[in-house]
Amino acid sequence: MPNSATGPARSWRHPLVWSLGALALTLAAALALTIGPGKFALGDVLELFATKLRGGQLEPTAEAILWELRLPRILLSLLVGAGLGCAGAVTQGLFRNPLASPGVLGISTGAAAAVVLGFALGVDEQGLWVTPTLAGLGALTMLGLLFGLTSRRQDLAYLLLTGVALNALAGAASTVILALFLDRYALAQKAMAWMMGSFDGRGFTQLGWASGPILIGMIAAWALHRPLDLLVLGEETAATLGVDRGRLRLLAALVVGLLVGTSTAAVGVIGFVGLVVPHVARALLGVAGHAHARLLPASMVIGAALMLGVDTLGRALTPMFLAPGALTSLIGGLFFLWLLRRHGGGAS
Amino acid sequence: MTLRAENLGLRVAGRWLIRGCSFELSPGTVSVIVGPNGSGKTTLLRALLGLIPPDEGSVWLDGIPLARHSLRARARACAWLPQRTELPWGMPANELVMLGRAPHLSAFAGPGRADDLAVAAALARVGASELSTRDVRTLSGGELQRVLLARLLATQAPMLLLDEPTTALDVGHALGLLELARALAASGHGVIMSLHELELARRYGDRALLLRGDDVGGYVLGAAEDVLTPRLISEVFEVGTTIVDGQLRFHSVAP
Repeated sequence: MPNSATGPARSWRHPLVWSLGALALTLAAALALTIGPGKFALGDVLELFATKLRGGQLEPTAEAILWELRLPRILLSLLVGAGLGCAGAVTQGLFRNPLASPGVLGISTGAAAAVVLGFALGVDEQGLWVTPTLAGLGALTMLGLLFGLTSRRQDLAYLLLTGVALNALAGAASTVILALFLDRYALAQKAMAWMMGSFDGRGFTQLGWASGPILIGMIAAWALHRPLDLLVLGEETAATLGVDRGRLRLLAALVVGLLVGTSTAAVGVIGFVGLVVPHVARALLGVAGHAHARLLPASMVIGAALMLGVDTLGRALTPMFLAPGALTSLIGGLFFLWLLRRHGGGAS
Repeated sequence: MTLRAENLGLRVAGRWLIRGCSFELSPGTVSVIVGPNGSGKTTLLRALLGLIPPDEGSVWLDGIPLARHSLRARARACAWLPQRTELPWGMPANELVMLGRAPHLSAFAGPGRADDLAVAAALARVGASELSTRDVRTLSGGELQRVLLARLLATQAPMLLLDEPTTALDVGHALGLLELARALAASGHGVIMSLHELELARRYGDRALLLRGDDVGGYVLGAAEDVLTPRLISEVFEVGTTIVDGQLRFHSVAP
């Protein structure tokens, strides 16, 4: 009975489930538009879209707040959340390790250090592409170091400790660069604001250049779903099933570099999303969650929802706009401790 | 479909595990690799799969050097059961077996009806159809080994390379697995496996390759009953060996 046997697992690919998820996310995004200073109800938001679709003019305040400020910010949070969730799932699959993530392994910090260096040297003024490229290169450098340093030993503790060391080194590099240029107050302020990880002041500009790379990264990640599944059996067994190990590592690293690099360049360092999201996805999918064909899309949707939620919560709760980077680190740090308690006993 | 080793030499840390060895694995036979711990049984299997390059000689698949075949073509010809398979996350048994279909699937298209049938047939062949939807983490050692073997069969590769498939099994499951290996050979598979149990190797192997573990790559190759003799076993494993009632008996000898 092959069909009934694979039935329950395959139902997750059912378009209805994903359609409902997308609908819920759209509704949440519309609700998020109403939250914040100024009184706008859901009706106003719908009216706004109706007017825009007709090509009409909005009342200037509504135009400024809803269209110019909140809409791109919300879209960007969805995009970045999906990208980081996806990057987390790829990283965990690649290292076959449930505690791995771009944040934990220092990949995000590496991207940040490269961007800070770019700020210090003033090269970010050369064009919009400079900061994302630097961030991507920073992320790739960290991945290269991780592969190099962990090639001889594959165990969990060793990988995590290497990540801790690289994280500290990249963080220190950022601090040193800032210290060296301390006389330039504007630079320090710019770098600090950016390192906090925030959607403040991000708009259609960032959305414009970040959409392409993040969407491409997510599609490329999905194309790797089967080799990532096979990797679960071990690298050599995967090779006997036709997986080119070197090629998979390179492609997966490029995907993670593209996603983390672009996200970090756009909004700064947002920690722990890549760690938490795949676990939530696996918890929801159950035994079906081992398959990356389901895990990757689920991580994108949940990542988007989490990022939107965190940013909206930050906007709603605090008059000062609590930085989402701080909030995700708060949630994620606690979650990480819980995971360590669960996995630390047997897995290492 | 044949897998052939020609003048094969493998070396680890300056010691030759095997040297100057030529043999051919053909469908319909069970070949066993035996030898003391560290004599290179796993290394030899890995070389036959192309996971490591030989230090001397070459491995040929269907008259073409292994390295000239694509990874997918190799995967469709030779399936591997490693000593231990890591399963960090839970999954249903039938999806684990479906992983064996990977060499037949393209990057974007999902598995289809033919793949479902191949998975069901593989599970039925190892007598594990009723385990189909079970989370593999809940399976016993014997059940898991059968499901893992079904993963090899789903590949529909004619050559099956098994690395100590009976080590983690109790005697009943071990015999069951070896009977299955014989049945698979009878239906046209070429089976090559490393084994620790010499008596079982003698009983279930057609041909045997005994690695001496003598650091210069010495080996004995031949029919299982000619290779696994009390004299050779005593010599290589440094134990006293006799045959009682047609079965090998071992006793330790004073150093």
